Amino acid sequence: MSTAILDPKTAPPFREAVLPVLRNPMLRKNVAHATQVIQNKRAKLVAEKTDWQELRVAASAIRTHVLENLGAYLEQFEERCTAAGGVVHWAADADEARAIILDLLRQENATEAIKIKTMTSAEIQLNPFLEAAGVTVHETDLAEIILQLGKEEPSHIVVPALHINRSQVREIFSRTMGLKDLSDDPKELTGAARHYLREKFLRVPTAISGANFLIAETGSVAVVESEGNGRMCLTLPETMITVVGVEKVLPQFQDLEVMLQVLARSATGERMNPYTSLWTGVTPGDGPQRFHVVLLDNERTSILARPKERQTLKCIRCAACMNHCPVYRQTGGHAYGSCYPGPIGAILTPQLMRMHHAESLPFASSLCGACFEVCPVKIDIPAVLLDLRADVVNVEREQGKRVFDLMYIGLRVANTLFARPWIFHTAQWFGRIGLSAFTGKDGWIKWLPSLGSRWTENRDLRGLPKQTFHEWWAARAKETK
Amino acid sequence: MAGSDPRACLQGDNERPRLSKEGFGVCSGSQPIDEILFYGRDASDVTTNPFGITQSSRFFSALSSALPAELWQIQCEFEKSVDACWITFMRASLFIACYNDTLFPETGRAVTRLLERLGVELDFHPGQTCCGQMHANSGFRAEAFSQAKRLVRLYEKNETVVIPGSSCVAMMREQYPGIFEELGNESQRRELAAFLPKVYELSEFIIDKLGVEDVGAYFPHRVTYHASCHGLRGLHLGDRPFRLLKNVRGIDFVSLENMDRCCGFGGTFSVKNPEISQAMLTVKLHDILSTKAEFCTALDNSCLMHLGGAMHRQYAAMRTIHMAEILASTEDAPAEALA
Repeated sequence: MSTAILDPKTAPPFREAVLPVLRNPMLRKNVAHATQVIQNKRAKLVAEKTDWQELRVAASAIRTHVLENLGAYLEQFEERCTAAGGVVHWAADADEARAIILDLLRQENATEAIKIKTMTSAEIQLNPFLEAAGVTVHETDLAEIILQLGKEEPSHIVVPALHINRSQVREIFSRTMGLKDLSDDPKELTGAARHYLREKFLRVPTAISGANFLIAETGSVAVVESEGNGRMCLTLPETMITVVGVEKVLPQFQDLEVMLQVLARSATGERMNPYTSLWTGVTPGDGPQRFHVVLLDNERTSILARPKERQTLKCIRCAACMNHCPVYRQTGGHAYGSCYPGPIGAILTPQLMRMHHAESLPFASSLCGACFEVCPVKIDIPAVLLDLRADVVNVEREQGKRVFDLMYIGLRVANTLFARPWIFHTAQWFGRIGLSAFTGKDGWIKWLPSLGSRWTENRDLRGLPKQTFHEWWAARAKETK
Repeated sequence: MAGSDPRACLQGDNERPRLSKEGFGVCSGSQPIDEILFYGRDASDVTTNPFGITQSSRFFSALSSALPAELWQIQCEFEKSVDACWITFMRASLFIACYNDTLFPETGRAVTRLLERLGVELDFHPGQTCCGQMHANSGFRAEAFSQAKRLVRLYEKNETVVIPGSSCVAMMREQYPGIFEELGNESQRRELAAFLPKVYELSEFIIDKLGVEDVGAYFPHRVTYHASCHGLRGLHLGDRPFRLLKNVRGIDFVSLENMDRCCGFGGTFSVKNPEISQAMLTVKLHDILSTKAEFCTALDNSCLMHLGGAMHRQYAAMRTIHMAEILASTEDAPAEALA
């Protein structure tokens, strides 16, 4: 029972991956519907906060401050968490993190583990690794159960099964749980999941979680969720292993005041998420008695070292950017080839993957700016997309790649034209002559060869007018003289 | 020459009379001068200025913020009659982007007609080419910088630059500072700092700089407005486009559902990722065509090229038109698109 997890290492480039999705009307309708519902809820709750922009500024300032002092806060977290009875592990990359987690599970003689939804575990491909090592993993988040049982891939970081509709859920549950008479009534579906989960919660003594925040001041870990499955995983098991990206630390407990307000409103359009669990080390007689935190770097410190792209790490994984992204709304998450889809994925994935996918993902955006507008921690995603694009082109040039790429040739030629007006104006003249061969009697171009065909596939182009603006201006000036 | 001819109160020659401080004083008693000065304005916001004449308060604040006190000598141009009298107190240079110059010269012509009608003295540098956005957005930052610094230097001596394309303005405001920071030197950054406050998108220029909302346009057609992403989120144009359209006589304006959504153009995105660009276009076009408007307008020809290209391909009962052409359109001189 292993959930296929999107792996950027093997995923095809965006433009290729997008084709099957665009031809899947049910998926597109599900994604459009779900993102619209969340968008509307968010808009309503953001509108009622008269200090929303101030909250964003505060949230951004907190996250920026953390990143500028990350080392100190992580050490403080380690010290406080250890003092409270937790064990802190440092993992430089995915391999190390997986090895640490497997090692901990072996120490527990665990053959099964229950899981709270965690993006970092998907990032390090934890489930397939543990399954291969003989540990059965049970997801406990409703959407994650749907994906795990249906052998589906997640398409969103907050609502991972948003591309699946109710009747598809019914089909998956009915097939995998052997419930022939199950209807698609949400109550019945959650009832089936609850029944399935309860047995796991009571039986499995080892849990794996992620974390929304680490608090340096107190050594605490915070998880916010909607279903209570996280709370169950935090109370019933004997052992809790939390795997969390190093950037998730906050300086003080008080910072949650800001972060929880912006997170719930941005993520699910709620004033407060239903369950906020906070725990500090180990408390005798209450909750897991063995507690491990695996602090995952996995290229995060290399992002930290890039001053312009550093803001990527401010992300609190609310997914507002993807809900508002006109590209994501058409494609859903799978095309992004990573557990991090949408605008944040387009900047995060290449940076986590040492610029693998950088030649496709950062270019898969119309730069409409909707992501930046809604980001609760003010990550200027379009600016980072542009920085990554420039990085890609610089590297390609250094390595002498794509010298004969038509678009690159076009851009180089255009630059020469724009530098000298007389060449530009001559080129306009030649362009007019050249394009007239493709221009129909109605003055429109319906077909162009080569790169131009990517425009004329679906759009006409008006033929070039006989007179440019600057020619008109000059003619007019002559007349009035 | 008291009586019906307002020229009576002007000093100087008839070609381009100059109103002095005194000239205003003479006028105030004998002529309905606010009608002369404020053609097309709402009489409700008329107040008295230090010269002792009545005028639009909005105009007064625009004027006093735009010019130092010693320059409060208003030039008045006469063509045929009182109705053709406009105040000239503004000079501006046009930037007509590479693609507008080549593909959409009618937009530049309309801007010229419109702004000259509003009394703006325009000039145009024939040496202007491109703002560098295409290169910047494609990762060719050094090329973008070479175009940007060329453009900044070209407008060094101009007081105001008007651009009928929100994405070019957004390029300048959002991307130039970063590019100059990365690739420029101190003096180039100073040039940029002097340049940026001079740049106005067309609707910003008309409303913020000229203080005009009713440009005296006539366009008796059903029109919907597409908010380009750069105008909406980059420049925060807000309700400026609607205030301008609202005052167009004869217009049947119909608002657009999901106005804040991108049309899928995105410059080279439309050819680099044509499939997804077209998927976005299909969704957008559905909303736009549902308005049953005759024209879809915007303040940016790049979106309109995308939308208009699809409308033409589909034989849709709608066309695109830059808002400058609507605003320039009058009963006597209808938009070129109607010819």
